[in-house]
Amino acid sequence: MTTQTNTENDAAASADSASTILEVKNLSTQFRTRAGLVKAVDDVSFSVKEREVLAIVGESGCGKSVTALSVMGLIPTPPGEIVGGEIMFGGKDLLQASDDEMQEIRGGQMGMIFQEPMTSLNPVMTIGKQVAEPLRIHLGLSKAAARVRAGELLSLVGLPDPLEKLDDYPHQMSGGQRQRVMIAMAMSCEPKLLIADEATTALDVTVQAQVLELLIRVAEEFGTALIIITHNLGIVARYAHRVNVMYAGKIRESGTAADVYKNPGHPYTAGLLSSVPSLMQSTSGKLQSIEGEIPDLTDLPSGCAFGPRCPYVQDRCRLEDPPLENVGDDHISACWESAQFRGTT
Amino acid sequence: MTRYLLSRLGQSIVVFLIVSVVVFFAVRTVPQDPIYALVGEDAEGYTPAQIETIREEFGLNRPLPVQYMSWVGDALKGDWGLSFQNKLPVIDLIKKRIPFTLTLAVGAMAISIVFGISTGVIAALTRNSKWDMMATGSAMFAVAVPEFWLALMMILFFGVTLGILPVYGAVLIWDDPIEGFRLLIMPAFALGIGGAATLMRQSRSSMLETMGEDYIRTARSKGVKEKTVIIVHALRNSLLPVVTILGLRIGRVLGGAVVIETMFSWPGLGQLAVSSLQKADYPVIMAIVMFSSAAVIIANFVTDIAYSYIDPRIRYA
Amino acid sequence: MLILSIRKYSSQLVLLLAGVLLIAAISCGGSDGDDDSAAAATSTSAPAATAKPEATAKPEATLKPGTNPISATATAAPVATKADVAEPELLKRGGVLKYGADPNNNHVFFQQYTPGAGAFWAMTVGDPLMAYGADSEWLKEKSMAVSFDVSSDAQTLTFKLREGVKMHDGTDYNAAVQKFSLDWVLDPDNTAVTRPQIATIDKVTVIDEFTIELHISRVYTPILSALGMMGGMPFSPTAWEEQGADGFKQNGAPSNGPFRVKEWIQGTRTTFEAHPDYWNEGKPYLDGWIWEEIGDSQVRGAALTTGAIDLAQIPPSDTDTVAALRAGDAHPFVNFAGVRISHHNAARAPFDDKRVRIAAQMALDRQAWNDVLLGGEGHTYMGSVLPPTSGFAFEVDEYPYEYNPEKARELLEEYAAEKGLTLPLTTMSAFTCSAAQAEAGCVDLVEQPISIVTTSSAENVKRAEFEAAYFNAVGFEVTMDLGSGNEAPRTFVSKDASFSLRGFGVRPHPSGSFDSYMGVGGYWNNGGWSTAPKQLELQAILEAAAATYDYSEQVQLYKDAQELYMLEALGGVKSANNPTFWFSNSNVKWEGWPNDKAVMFPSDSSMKVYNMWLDN
Ligand SMILES: Nc1ncnc2c1ncn2[C@@H]1O[C@H](COP(=O)(O)OP(=O)(O)O)[C@@H](O)[C@H]1O
Ligand SMILES: [Mg+2]
Repeated sequence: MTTQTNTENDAAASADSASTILEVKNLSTQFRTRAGLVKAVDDVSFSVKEREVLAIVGESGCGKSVTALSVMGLIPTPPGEIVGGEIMFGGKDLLQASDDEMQEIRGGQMGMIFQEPMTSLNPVMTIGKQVAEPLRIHLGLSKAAARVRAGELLSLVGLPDPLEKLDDYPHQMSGGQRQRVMIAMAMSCEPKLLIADEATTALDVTVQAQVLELLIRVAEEFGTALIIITHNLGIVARYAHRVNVMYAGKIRESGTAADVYKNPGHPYTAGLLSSVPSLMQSTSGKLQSIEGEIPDLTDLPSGCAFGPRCPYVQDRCRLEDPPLENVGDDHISACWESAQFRGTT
Repeated sequence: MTRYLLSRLGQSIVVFLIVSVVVFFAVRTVPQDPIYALVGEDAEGYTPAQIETIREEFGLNRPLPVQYMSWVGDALKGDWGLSFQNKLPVIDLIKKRIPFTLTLAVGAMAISIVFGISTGVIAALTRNSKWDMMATGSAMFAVAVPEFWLALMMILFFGVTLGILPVYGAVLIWDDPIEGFRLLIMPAFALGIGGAATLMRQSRSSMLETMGEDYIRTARSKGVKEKTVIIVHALRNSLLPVVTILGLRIGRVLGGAVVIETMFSWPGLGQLAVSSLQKADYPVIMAIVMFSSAAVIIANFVTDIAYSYIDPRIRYA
Repeated sequence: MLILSIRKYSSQLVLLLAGVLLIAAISCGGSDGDDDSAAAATSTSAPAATAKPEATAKPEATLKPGTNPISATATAAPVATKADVAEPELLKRGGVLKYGADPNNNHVFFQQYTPGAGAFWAMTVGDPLMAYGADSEWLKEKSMAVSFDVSSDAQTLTFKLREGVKMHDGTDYNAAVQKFSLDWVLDPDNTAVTRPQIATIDKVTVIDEFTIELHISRVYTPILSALGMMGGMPFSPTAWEEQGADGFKQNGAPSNGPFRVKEWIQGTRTTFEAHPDYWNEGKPYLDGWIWEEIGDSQVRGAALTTGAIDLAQIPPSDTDTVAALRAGDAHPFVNFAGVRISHHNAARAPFDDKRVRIAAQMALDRQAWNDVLLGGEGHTYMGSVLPPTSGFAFEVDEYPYEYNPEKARELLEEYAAEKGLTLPLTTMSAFTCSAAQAEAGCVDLVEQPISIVTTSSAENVKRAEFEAAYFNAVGFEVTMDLGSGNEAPRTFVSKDASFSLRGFGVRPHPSGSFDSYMGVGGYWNNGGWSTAPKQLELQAILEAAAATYDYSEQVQLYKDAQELYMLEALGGVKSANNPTFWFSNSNVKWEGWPNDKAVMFPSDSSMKVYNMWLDN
C-alpha cells in the first residue's frame, strides 16, 4: 500500500518533512449499511504542515467528515471500517496505534470541533468539568488546577464572566458561546492539529465570522495547524493556505487556496466557486448551483463520479475515472478534460 | 419550586379523593358479605335479625354516601377505623405490615435496577452480540411470564430441588440479617424481575441512543477513556428516561406484591389486602389502598425531584 | 445472571411444576415402608399403652348425649386419667410441630373466632365443658365435666367439674371461672361469635366450687354437643380484667387446654406452647406447635417436601399437589369433610311437584361430580347427615333416585304434558302466600327464571356450572345468578331462587346442620332456607329429636327425618362431600391416629395435635 504513493505528495513530504505534521496516504473508509457498501472515503491522500490552514471543501455527503473522523480514529465500528491507507502523525501510523495511544493523541495533540454546537456538549455536565477533562487526562492537572486553567481558556475564547460559566450547563448558553467552549476544550492542551468540521455552519452569520476569527487567532497563538472543513469557499479564500476539494469520497483537486480559487483545475471546483456566497451571506442552504445531486455512494457511476453532472463530460469520462494529475505548480486535479475546461475558463 | 410543590400537593389531594371514592364503592361490589365472613358461611345459629344487628354495628346499614362521608371524616382525623375481622385498630395492622412490604419493594426495586440497568447497558454496548441476544431474550421471557408462576418455579427449584433457599416466610432484615436476606431473595427476585426486564429494555435502547449522541463523540475526541465515556458521559444521560420508568414501577411493585406476598407467605400489605378482600374487611382494604396510593404519589414526586436533580435542563428551566 | 439461567432452564422448569414434587418424593421413598410400619405399630400399640379413660371407666361408656335425662348421672373417675399418664418412657415425646395452612388467624381470641375448619387451633388451647369425638361419643379426656345430671323437665343441667385444673395464667379453674366465660359469651353486648352456639342457655348458676348449673330456655338436647365447641371453653376472668378483648385478640385468652398461645404474628404464624401445668399430666406430647400461614397450597406442598413444615393442609381442588403428596411418603388423611347441597324451592311450581324434585335428583351424576370436581377424592353419599357422625348417619344401600337422566326426562315430560307446558322448564310459577304465611313475612312473587344462586367464588361457579349442565340435559333451563355472595341463602329465603348451592361443615351432632338447612330454624318463615310444605312434617320430627335425651330415640328420629327428606326428594340434590387433606411427614408420630378415610371435626383436628409428637 505504502509503496504506491502519490509522487507529488512524496516529493512534498521529503522536501519539507520537518514541517509536515499529518500525512494521510491512500485512506479508504467504508460503511456497511443496509443499502449496501458506502465508500465514504476512497483512496484519499493529503498532508498538513505545521501551522498550515488546510480547507477541505465539497458538498454534503462527499466524505469530508468521514475523512476527519478517520484521522481522529473516531469512525464508529461497526458499521464503519478503515479498509486501507496510512495516517502518519507525529511519526506514527495512527491506523496501527493502540486504543491507549489514540486516546493520548486525541485531545492532547489533535483536537476536533464539531458542527452541531447544540448537541456536542454533554447536557448534564458543567462547562468547567468538560473543559477541564482533557487537561486532567493529558496534562495530569489536579482538579483545582484544571479548573483554574479552564477558566483561563474560557476567557481566552472570549466568553464573558468565564469563572461563572464554569459552573453553567450547556443549555444555559447560546450556540456561539458553546462553540467557543468547544474551541477552548479542543485547544486546551495546545494540540498540533485542530480539525474544525463545519464548526460555524450552524451559527448565525454574524457569529460565524467571530468564531472563525477566534479559531484562527487561537490556532496562531498556539502554533496549531488547522483543517477547516466547510462548504463555504468564501472562508477558504480568506483563511486557508491550501484547499482539498472532495467529491464522492475522493479528492478531485488540491492546491494552494490562491491557485484553486483563481484557476480551478476541476469543473466541480468551478461549479462550487460560481455559487460562492459572500462571507456575510447566509450559508444555511447547501451549495445548489451545480445541477443534479451527488451520486449514491453505494452505486457510483462508472468512470468519473462527477460525470453525470459535468457540463464538459466526454465519453472517456464515463468509462475511466481520471487520476489526479498536475495542473500547475503544487496544484493537482482529477479531470480528463481539465486542459480543455481550463482553456475555456 | 414552592409553586410547583403546591400544585403537586393539590393534584395529589384530587387523586386521593378520586381513588378513595372509586375504591370505596368498588370494594363493596366484591361478592362477599363482611358479616358472613365473620359469622361463617353457613351462619350457623344466627337468625337474620342477629345478622342485621351486626350489620348495624358495622354501620353497613346506612346509605353508601353516608358511609363514605363518615369514613372520610374519620380518616381526616387520622382514625382509620377498626378491622371488621378482629375489631383491632386498622392503623396498627397496617403499621406492622409496612416494614415487610417496604423491604420487599426495596429488594424488588434493587433487583430491577441492578439486573435491569446492568444487563441493558451491557446489551447496548455489545449490541447484536450473543450477550445482547441472551439479555434481550431473557427480558422478553421475564416480561411474558406470570409472577406467580415464576415464584412457584423458584420455590420448587431453589427451595425443593436444590434446597438452598427457604420456601416461605419472612424475617425483617434488621432482626436477622442473614436469614432475612435469604428469605428476601426469591420474593424480591420474583417481584423485581419483570421490572428488571422493563428497565433492561429501556436502558438498552436509551444507552444505544446515547452512545450515538454527538457529545459522546466529543468526549472521545478529547481522549477520554472508553470506560469513562460510558460511565461518566453516557450512563447518566441514558438513565434519564429510565428514572421516569422507575417512578412508575413503584405502583407496579406494590400491585405485584399482592401475588408475591401471598405466594411466599410474606406478611406485608399485599397479603393483608388479599385476606381482607376475601373477608370483605372494608376498613382495612381502604387503608391499604390509601397507603399504597400515597406511596405511589410520593414515589412519583420523589422521581420528579430526582429527575430534576440529575437533569440540569429541568432544574434550571 | 439468574435471568439467564432461568431462561436456560425454561423448558425444564415447565416440567418441574408437575415433576419436582414427585422426584423429591421418589428420592426419599426408600424408607417409606419402614416408616409406615413403624407408624402402624405405634398406632396399634398406643391405645393399649395409654388406655383411654373410657376404656378403664367402662360404666361411662353408655353416657352419651342420649342417656335418659331422668336417670342420667355420669361420673368419670378422675383417678383414671392419673393412672393413664403414669405409663413410663413411652410418653417422653416432644418436638415443636409446624403446621402449614391458609392465613386465617386474624386474631387469637377463641370466643371471637369465626367458626370453620381453621378454628381447630382454638380447640387445642381450651378444654370445653363437654367434648365430643368423631363418633359422637363423649370425649372425657377433653371435657371439664366429669359427670352431669339432667332435671326432670330436661331444662336444667348440672355439671360436676374436674378439680385441680390450672389455667394458662396459673389461676385455678372452677365453677366461677366457667360461669364467667359462659356469661361473657351469652352477653349480647360482647357480640361473641360463639354466642349462637349456646344461646339457648338463659341462666348459669354456681352451686359450689366445682358444680355448675345451666338452665336452657327450651328443651334442646344438642346443647350438650354445642358446649363441646368453642362457646363452652373457659377463659381466665383475672386475665380478662387485665387485658380485655383487645388483649385477648393479640395474646390469646388464657384457657385450660393442652396448649397456650405464645405468640401471634398476624399473617405469619401463631406459636403455641405446651401448657406446663396441664391437668392431664403427660399430655400433650408436643412441646408446642406452630401454625405457619402459607397462602398457597402448592407452596405448602413444597414446604412439606423440604421438611420446612411437618403437616400441611391441602384442599382437594389442588389435585396436582394432592397427587404428588399421595405418591410420596407423606401421610394423608381426610380432614373436616363438608357437604354441598343444592336446594330447590319446593314451595313453588315446578318443584312443588314431587316428580320434578325426583327428576332433579336423578339429573345429577354424583360420581362424575366427585371425579371432576374433587379429583375422585371425595365420596358420594345420599344421607343428610355425614357418615362420620356415625351415630346418626343414615346409610342407604340403594338410593332410589340414582343418576338416571332418561328417567328424569320422562318424569319432566310427564309433568309438562299434564300442565300443558313444553320442555325445557324455564320458569318458576307465581307464588301466593297464604294468610298465615303473609303474616310471617311472606311476599307474593311473580314468574321468574329457574336459577342457581351461588357466590361468585371460582370454586362455586365451577360447581354451579357443572350442576347446571346436568340439569339442563334432562329438560330444565337453569340460569346462573352469581355474585350474590353470602346473600345467596337469603335471596333463596325470599324465594327469588330455585336452586341455591351451599356448603355445610360437619358437626359432631346432626342438629346443627339440620337446623340450618331443614330443621327448626331452617323453615323459611323462621328465617331458614326450607320451603316445602312437607317440611312441616320434617320440622315436627326434628323438634321431637331435639327434645329428647334418649339417644336411641334421637337416632331413630333423625333416621326418620332423613328418610322423609330423601324419599320426598325434598331438600335438593346432595352431592359428594368435600374433604380437606392433611398431609404429614414421616417424622410425625401419633397415637390413636384416625384412619385414612376418617372425617374430622374441629375438635378432632385438635385431638390429633393433642396426640402427636415428632420423631427427630
Ligand atoms: N455512521 C455512518 N453510517 C453509515 N454511513 C455513514 C456514516 N457516516 C457517514 N456515512 C456516509 O458516508 C458518506 C460521507 O459522509 P460525510 O463524511 O459525513 O459527508 P460530509 O462530506 O458531508 O461530511 C455519506 O454518504 C454518509 O451517508
Ligand atoms: Mg460533514
